[in-house]
Amino acid sequence: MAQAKMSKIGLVAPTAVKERLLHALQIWEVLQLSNLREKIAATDLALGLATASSSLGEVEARQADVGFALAFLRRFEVVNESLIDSFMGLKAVVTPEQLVETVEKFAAETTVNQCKLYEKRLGEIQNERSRFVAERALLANWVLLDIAPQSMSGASLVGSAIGTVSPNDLAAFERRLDKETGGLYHLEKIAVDNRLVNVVIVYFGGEAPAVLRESIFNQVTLPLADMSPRVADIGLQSSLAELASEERQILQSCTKLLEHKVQLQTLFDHYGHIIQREQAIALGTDTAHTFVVEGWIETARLGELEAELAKSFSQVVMLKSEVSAQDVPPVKLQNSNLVRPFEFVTNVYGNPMHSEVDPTPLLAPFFALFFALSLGDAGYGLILVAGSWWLMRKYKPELAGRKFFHLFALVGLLSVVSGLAMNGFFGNLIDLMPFPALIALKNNFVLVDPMTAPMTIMILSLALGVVHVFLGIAVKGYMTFTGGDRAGALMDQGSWLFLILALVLQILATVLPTLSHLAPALGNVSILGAVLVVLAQGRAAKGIFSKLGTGLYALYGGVGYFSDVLSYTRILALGLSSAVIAVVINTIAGMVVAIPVVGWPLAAVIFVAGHLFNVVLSTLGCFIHSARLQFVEFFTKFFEGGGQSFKPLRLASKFIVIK
Amino acid sequence: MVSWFGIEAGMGFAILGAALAVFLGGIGSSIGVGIAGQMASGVVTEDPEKFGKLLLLQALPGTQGIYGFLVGFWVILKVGLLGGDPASITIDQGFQLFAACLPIAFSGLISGIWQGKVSAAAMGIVAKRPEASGKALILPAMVETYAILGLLASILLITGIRI
Repeated sequence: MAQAKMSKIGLVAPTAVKERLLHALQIWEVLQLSNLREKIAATDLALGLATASSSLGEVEARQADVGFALAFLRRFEVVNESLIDSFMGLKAVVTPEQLVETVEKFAAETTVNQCKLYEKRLGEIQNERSRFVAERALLANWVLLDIAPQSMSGASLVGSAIGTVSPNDLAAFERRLDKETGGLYHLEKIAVDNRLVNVVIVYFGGEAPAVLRESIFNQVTLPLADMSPRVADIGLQSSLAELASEERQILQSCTKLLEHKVQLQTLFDHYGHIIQREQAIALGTDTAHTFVVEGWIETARLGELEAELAKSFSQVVMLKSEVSAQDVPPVKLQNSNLVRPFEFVTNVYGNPMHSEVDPTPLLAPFFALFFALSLGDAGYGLILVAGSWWLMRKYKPELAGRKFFHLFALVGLLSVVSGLAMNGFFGNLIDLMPFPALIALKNNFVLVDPMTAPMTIMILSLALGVVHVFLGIAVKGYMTFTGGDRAGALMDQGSWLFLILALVLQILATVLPTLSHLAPALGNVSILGAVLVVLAQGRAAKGIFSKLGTGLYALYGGVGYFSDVLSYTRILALGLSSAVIAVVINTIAGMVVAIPVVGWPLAAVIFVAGHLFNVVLSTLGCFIHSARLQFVEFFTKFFEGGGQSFKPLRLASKFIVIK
Repeated sequence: MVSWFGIEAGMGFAILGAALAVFLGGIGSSIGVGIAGQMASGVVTEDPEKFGKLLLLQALPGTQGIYGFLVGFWVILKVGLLGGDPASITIDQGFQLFAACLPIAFSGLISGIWQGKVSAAAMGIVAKRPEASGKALILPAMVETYAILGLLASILLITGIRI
């Protein structure tokens, strides 16, 4: 159980089969390559470092191109991806034959170049459009001017100016103009609003009146001055329409290009596979005629690899290396089918180190129990089971995802049981139905109802907490004991286990009337336990007072265990919260039924939406808090974590699943 | 039954308690979910595919509002306001119910805000280290512990009060 045993091997292959071997390793997914470069740097062996093939840069560039096309085309995709889809990361399924066909036949350059072209043109259209729109805005108040501004200049006897004047200054402006030109001018108002007056002025004589150069008059230069503003505006309008139609065409073409999406994705991932392979090659080393890699493999799969090599690579030699003390093997958890889903919980925290035990089998029963008690509703349990099954069928997730859904199917199943025992089926739904026989049947299963007897669940939660914390300390003791420090285990953990056991017995004796005569004696045992803790924990300190002080301080540390145990009351709180919200939903739905006509449909909507909301939120809460009880209360007693996951060389894909 | 200025004081206290539980918890969650939502929007701008995970993180500080609502609802149920046949509540009982609502009211208010801050920070994990998203879920849950304890205290107190 627990962790898979790892072996270190080396592979020596003729240089000619290097690429083919690595590709095969990617498909087999058995070997995690380690870096030979560092090792070789430390020796003076005359080995050359394996160089990645020169085409790597080219492949990366091609992948970047395809990636660009995919990102570009995504803009035109009508999003029909549901929230669940985006959460699950829906991947396209591609057969190996389709992959080969795409790689050989699909002309990606054409599509990529089209995308590049379209992207450039769309950017230009955007720019032109904003320029035209800005010009139209400038012309907006001048469309009543029906000659081209350019045609007004160049006359020798008269001059002209186009500009704006504030309405308040208009009278003063005209007076100045009149004075400076001696009345030989004409002022035409093109448009008047309460902010500006647009005017055209024609005056006699070559020189412009001084007032036109002052701030009272704001000279305007109109765009497209070779035609009248009205004509220019009509021209701009038609240009804008042309741009819009061109843009529509490009969008259509882009939407059409989307039919190549899966091919582009396949190609992207294919390039990705090549890059991964080349990077793997760079971890190995070349000699004159051979290529060497080293890596970790599950000991159990050694035979499989040997057989595969013998079949397809007769010249490749497999060498088993000694595992030295400095080697840190990667960690792969290995558990029975029933426990495996709970590896998901362990992995949320992190892997155990290769020298540690895998805590998964230990946490599995507790996690399931905590979750089931916190959810405590048979109806919600059924939803979890059905939902997991449906999502598994629809999305066919990879291993980690499968663990996730198996986990929820398992704890959902257990929640059905706990729900029956705790009188929860969509809250109090059955009690609201007019079927006395069904209610009687349901009541047969009920052991305890948290709504009416919360104290029973509270005591159960605390009891589970004591067992869980006790187990945590015991595991630590076991590890220390088997690790060789037998005395240390007995004293450090043994004394605490003794004290906790004595306290539990004492509490039982005090509470249960039949055992009450034992209470005083057990009280003495508890005191003995406390003394043992002080003596054992203080043993390392020097000097009698120092020993006593350290021991007493350690005993005070028992407060930590106490607060750990109290933390388990969250099981009751979460159970109550999901149950009460369910009851609230039923109550509101029940009240709505009385409304004429819309009553029943509205009640149905409230019922379905409300319970769906509650099941999502409660499941989230139950998962997080059941996990937290493992990580914070349980793991801290014995578990460190921090191992590296076993990541065999494989065909890692972003968009596709090869099946 | 004590009546102040014609108001039934017992029932008044009970309703005040229920109201406090609902709106203080609601304030805590509103602020918390708000903080987390701002952060989530920022991450989604860069990477829309992370929406699902971020939504979960944003939902976490929402529980305080639900706990408060739950306690408020329990009080309403207990004093019979829902059935249209209110129980007669003495001023003692009313004040007891009022006090029983305080644990979730205040722990919900404060923990909701802080859980929102931790959720927002945890979104950084989802943004930069998506493979560690599971861990990002656990950190905000540490804050929620205290809302849960408040909820538990309130519920136990309310169940204990005799009407």
